[in-house]
Amino acid sequence: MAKVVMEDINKVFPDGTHAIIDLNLDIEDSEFVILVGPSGCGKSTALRMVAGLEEITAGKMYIGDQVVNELSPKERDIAMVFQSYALYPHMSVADNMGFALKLAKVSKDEIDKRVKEAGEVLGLTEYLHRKPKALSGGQRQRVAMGRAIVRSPQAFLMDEPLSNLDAKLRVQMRAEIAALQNRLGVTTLYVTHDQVEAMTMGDRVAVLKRGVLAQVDSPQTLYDRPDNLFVAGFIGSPSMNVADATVRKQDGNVYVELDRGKTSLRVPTEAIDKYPGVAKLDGSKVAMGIRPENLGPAEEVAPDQVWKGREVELVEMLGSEMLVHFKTDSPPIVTDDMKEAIDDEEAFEELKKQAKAGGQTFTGRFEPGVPPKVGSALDIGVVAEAMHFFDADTGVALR
Amino acid sequence: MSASTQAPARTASGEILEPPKETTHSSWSVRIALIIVIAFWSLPTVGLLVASFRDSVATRSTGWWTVFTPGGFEGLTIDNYVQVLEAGMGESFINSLTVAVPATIIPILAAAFAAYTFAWMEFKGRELLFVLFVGLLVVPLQVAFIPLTRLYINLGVTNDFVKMWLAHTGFGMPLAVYILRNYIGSLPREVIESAKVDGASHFETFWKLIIPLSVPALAAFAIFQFLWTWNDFLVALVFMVNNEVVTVTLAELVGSRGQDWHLLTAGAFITMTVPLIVFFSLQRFFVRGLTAGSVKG
Repeated sequence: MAKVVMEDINKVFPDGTHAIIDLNLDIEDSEFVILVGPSGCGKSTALRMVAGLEEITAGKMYIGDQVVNELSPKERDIAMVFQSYALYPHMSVADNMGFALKLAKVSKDEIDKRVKEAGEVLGLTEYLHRKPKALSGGQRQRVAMGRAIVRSPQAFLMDEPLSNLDAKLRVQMRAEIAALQNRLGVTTLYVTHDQVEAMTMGDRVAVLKRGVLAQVDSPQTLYDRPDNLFVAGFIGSPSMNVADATVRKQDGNVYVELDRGKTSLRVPTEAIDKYPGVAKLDGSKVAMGIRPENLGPAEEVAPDQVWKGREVELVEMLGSEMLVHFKTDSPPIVTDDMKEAIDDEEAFEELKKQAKAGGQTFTGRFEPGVPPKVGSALDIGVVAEAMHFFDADTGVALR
Repeated sequence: MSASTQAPARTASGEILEPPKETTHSSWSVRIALIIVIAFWSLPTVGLLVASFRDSVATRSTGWWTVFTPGGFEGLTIDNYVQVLEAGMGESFINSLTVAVPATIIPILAAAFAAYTFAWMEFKGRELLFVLFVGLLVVPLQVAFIPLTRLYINLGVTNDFVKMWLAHTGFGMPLAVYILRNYIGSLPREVIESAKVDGASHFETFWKLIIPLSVPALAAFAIFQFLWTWNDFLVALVFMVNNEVVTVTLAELVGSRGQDWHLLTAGAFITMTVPLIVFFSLQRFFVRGLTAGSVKG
């Protein structure tokens, strides 16, 4: 087991695409790091460069203390789990798992022993003689994991290993992989585009945007203290509400104006402590972000933090919670950051349309109860302590 | 022929598509049409088989179908086969096998190596080299005879069989490389990368992964190459000096004996048995793809 270090890594494809730009990432020994980002952000390319399947254009890659730029995948001593599992179809499960050991000229007894052990760990004992095509999707996934763990490699590399499983199985395998990694203590780099996997599985999460590392931190820190609008919009589901707003100072207090000046909410000191940059502004445009769980009943907040008379557009009853979608007159932020964070052409087009119309829909997460009537006016309590502020143009957090 | 060597149709998720099970009117009409075509197609072969068991007098006087008239079975004999084998057909048969088996295995093996290289190894000028190689398909066999003969003399190659193996290998390679590259190139990239990560060299990847996964394509090409070398007359006539293969013997059988139709039929039937065995033993690979289950399902 070893640490993996990426130092100013760049990747330029022959067609000129600059897929990875100055990537710096340290993965500590035994650490589980998730690489996450919208489609086409270069996360798989980064992983493949660690594996040695993709050449490194510039920068240095270390596994342990060794620079591995010029080493073949074999010499790097890493194991990789592919999205499609990439099992060898003509070999039995046992042969699939033992293939790497056989190539490494490990004795047959040792291979048998290790394959059996891995089979027990993964619950594959009774399938060891079967061919991959006689296995279910979940079992194939386990074989792919087994192939990685029998080798006791320097590091595990996983490329969206759960994306081919159905939702229920994914939840189960998610927990299994996290537990397995924890037990084996093998340094792991895990690529996914799935929010939940990113938040639940890893010690740290690295968020990539168009080949640039946007932020790397523990999942909770990413959620609570995003460095920029992209991370704020990308992490969390339903995603953070972000609106065009103006900061104003009055009587020693800081207010944020929403609905193009029609609504003014007081920004408490807790929020200003987190985003001290806000205190320096007066009359400037910012991007104000608030997570759905910080929008709730009006009774629970101070009177100067109530967003009055919002029209209810849609109510989703989810059993444990109630999502209330309501209209605002605050235009959305339509920048590149937001486009990447939304990661959906159609949704972004819709956002653009709303921007033109001068308003957008916000989502609040309420305790389940009597749902407000669609079309009725509702006072929304804004937990303003949890507001986030970003530069409206650059998207950088106002710290 | 290329259709039969391609990977089977798949759904987006990688499952192999089963052919739709139809029992509609259209499928019945197709079946009837097929039966008619097959019947017409098989008629000459049946005629050949029947004629090979008739004596020379019967062959010259009446058609083979008279066998199916009352009493027609009485004149049947295996004398033709005995005579043909005594005339050296047995030896030619062994010679043909000696030519055809290595002349099938050598080009397939060489072509599989080349196909893997063209499909999965990166080097400069790969596409150009491939196009040049496959472009050799347009070179007619006949124009190569004189240069080849000169080359053999210069190199001191005198053994009939070695000359045949080399010639057939050369003539078969362009098509073999083309067919095999297309197939090997369609194997899932992740499986090959996975082998790389598992520590397999190109050589190990080739033997442990590519060859087993390419069996359908290898078998398909083996059939073509074997049939071509077994049925070849011209190359054997030019290069075989001291030995004869079945096609040459067959030609002499009818040439030296004039109207010996009855012997020709028996000789032809002996010649046909081997291609039939080869085809029926390998044809199952035509319809089976081995890659099922390698990627998600």
